[in-house]
Amino acid sequence: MTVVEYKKYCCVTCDLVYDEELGFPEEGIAPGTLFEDIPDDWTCPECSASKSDFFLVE
Amino acid sequence: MKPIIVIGSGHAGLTLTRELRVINKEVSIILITQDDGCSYYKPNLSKAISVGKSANDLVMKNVEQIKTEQDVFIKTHTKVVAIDAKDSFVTVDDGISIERIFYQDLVIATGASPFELPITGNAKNEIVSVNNLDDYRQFRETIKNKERVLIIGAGFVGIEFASDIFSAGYHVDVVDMEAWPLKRALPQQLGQSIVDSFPKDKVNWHFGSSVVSVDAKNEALEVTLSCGKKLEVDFVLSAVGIRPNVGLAKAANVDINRGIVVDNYLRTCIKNIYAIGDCAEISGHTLPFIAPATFAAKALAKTLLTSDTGLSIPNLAVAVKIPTCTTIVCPSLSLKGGWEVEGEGSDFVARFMNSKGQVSGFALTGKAISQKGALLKECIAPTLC
Ligand SMILES: Cc1cc2nc3c(=O)[nH]c(=O)nc-3n(C[C@H](O)[C@H](O)[C@H](O)COP(=O)(O)OP(=O)(O)OC[C@H]3O[C@@H](n4cnc5c(N)ncnc54)[C@H](O)[C@@H]3O)c2cc1C
Ligand SMILES: [Zn+2]
Repeated sequence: MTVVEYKKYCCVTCDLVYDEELGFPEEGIAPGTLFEDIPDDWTCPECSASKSDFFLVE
Repeated sequence: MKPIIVIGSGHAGLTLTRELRVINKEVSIILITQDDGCSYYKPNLSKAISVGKSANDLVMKNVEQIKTEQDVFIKTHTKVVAIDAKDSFVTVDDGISIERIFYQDLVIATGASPFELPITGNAKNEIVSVNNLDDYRQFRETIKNKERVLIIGAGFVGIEFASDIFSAGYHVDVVDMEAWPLKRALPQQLGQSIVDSFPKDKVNWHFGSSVVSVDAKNEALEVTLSCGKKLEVDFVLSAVGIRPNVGLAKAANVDINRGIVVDNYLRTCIKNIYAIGDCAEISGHTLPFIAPATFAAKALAKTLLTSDTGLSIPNLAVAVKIPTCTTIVCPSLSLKGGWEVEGEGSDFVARFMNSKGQVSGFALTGKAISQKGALLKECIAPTLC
């Protein structure tokens, strides 16, 4: 059995956190979606920053 | 080589310095700001009272963190008082001394200031605007022991404040000259569902009216509206809009209109002077929002350090944070055209059809906000030039 270790990513502009475990269902991103699996043209739902503007929260 | 100088540590200025550093580790960058240089997300200013956040809680990074992360020289509490475009230097005043700093390239990111209304009365100076962290700090302190707040302006910022402040337990009056909130960004039906979503005993709306005077009376403020109505409140907040800060540019003979006029490369009429963010005007448009400034800062970083990169902005949806009626708008750049509305109850999709019959903007409320992605695709690409 593999246990997925979900990570969190934070938007550099607005501090919004993407939590892989929770996803963004209202944005069409299902819970459990890994950050790397989000389409590259996805943008921050709060401030429209690009996916590359999110950094990994340690 | 002389440094790149950036004036202003708002979202535009700080995004630019960050992007410049990503491209080049060596180039000398000086950021000059009249505030304390810490970073914060300005849209939070109109949503923070009800969640009990202080100005310090809203700080994302302090200036020491930014200096270390970006390896940028930052002069805080320092005002740029003049630009010499001929010899490429700025004159700065930190309150103790005045000095000149020469630049290779200069970027003006001085933002915008609240519009001052022609209001009379012996307490007109008590009208407050909240446009930066210091304003917010003072605002939060002052309304602590007050009960009734009047908000002038039912645009983006005005209705977010109305929502935040009533949720914090205040009684709120909102005054706007138009017939419904966010008139420029959505049609009447949607405006009405926003109004209906607010509790009637906590928020009173006064549309088609403006504030004429504010006078001190019985330890409160008496506000007289153009319709003749008089309201007694404890605090007046103005959210009527902003004016780009163009003074420095104008004095240096840089072309200005409403904002500092720049081309698609964010360049002013002077070769090594640029402008981004709320102070800039491009193809007749000022774009006083977060996302256009992010795009502008990224394009300009490339132009300054690699090669000319034109600004291209996709359609952008702005969420209006009113929990009683979730609203998303994508304002049309062209104002010629009309609205087509679908939906019922409080769930509406409104498309702005331009004169050619194309969707050039939209607004969504309630459950319809889930259609944001589809509507962004339906919309024609915004043309700035
Ligand atoms: C309450 C509120 C809510 C908002 N909500 C949203 C929202 O939901 N979505 C959205 O997209 N946008 C929103 N906005 C707009 C958005 O916040 C602004 O467009 C953006 O923050 C502007 O950034 P800026 O860097 O251009 O300007 P500013 O943040 O105003 O920065 C200007 C900087 O220039 C400095 N400066 C000015 N003159 C001088 C000088 N002579 N010398 C030295 N320094 C100087 C200032 O100290 C400051 O650091 C909101 C704005 C407000 C006020
Ligand atoms: Zn963001």
